[in-house]
Amino acid sequence: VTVRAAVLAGVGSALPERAVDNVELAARLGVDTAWMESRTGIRARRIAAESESTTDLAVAAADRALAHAGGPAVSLVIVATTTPDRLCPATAPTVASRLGFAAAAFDVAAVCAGFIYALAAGAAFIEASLADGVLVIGADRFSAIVDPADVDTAPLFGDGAGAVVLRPGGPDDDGALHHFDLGSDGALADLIATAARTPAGSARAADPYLKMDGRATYRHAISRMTSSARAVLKSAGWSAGDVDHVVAHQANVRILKAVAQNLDVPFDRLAVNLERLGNTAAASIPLALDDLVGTGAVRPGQRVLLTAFGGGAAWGSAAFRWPRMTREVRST
Amino acid sequence: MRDAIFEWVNTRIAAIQPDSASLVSDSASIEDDLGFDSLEMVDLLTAAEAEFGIQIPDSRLRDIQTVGDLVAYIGSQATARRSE
Repeated sequence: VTVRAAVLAGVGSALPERAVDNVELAARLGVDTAWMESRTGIRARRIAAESESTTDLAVAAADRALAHAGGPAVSLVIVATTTPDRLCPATAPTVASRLGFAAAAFDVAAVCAGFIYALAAGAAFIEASLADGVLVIGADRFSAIVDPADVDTAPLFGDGAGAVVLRPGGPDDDGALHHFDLGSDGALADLIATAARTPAGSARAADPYLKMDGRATYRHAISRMTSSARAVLKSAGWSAGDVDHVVAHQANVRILKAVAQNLDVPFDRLAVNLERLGNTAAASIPLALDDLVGTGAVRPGQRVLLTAFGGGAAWGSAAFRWPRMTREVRST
Repeated sequence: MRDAIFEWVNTRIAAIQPDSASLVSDSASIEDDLGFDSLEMVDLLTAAEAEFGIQIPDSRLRDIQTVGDLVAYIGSQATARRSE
């Protein structure tokens, strides 16, 4: 008998100040802005300053999520990231310390699906009574691994972080996290990949930058996000038409449109932040959740569906009802 | 069979790029001549997979270029499927 569930208690996000729009980027890459926008739906992205680390973004987002949740104690910090500031150690212990918590802390590596994997892990720790207050952070600084001269990837990615706070609660509370679908297919590992600094069989990586097969990624993203979303809807006992907000990983507006069409959900129920932020990897879903809170678009009791696909390939979905937060009005 | 496949490809091209319908021929490059971008090309190939019950591997996504390439590829896969 489940007597304890993880409940969403707060949301926060942080973005670098510098916005790079398509005009600036197109001039640098020698392509036109219409080409860039029609392929992706992206018009601008935030790029971290040289001194602004993934850890900095994670701490700032977490700080706001904690304020939103009313400042609870935290006994576990999970950071989903593909762009940690160091290969070793993990980012999460530093984030926990900077926030003043002597907490369990670890990173999750599931690329663009990382936030949903981390959310599932955080929820499971609470359900198992291994943690009480949990911070789940998606933070990425893809500008560190994207080739600034690559027309195929440079327009796509932006930097940012988003965080949620989970608290122990009752299984019937709004905001209780019960329904997840997680999966992977390592046969697709080359779709989106960055070499290790010293890969087996060579002294050092020939190319330190992210490589992506855009065509194959596009079709696998649509197919996997659709099937994973359907699986989690089935688990929750909802039909797609019941869902008030679909918060899908923000890679490309054409993927979002195709997933909405496959699920038969009106496009206006999908959260969209990619036109101004680009693909923020593990941060895209909590950034979009924070927009929903900030604009007042989401109300307690509404049905929310999260779904993501990314490198691995790894994918995941979650379904829950939006909770009444401790503070309805944002303090930041 | 080939005519039916060509007809289907023609119809799909017209649905995705209506202005290009009159330019369709076996030798027309779907991206260079008919104005498909790379993701519209993938949409067309995915639709063909669903329509004809075939699978186009990731490695072939780039080397199907002309209308004739696509019609021939669908024909060869659909034939292989029927004789299984």
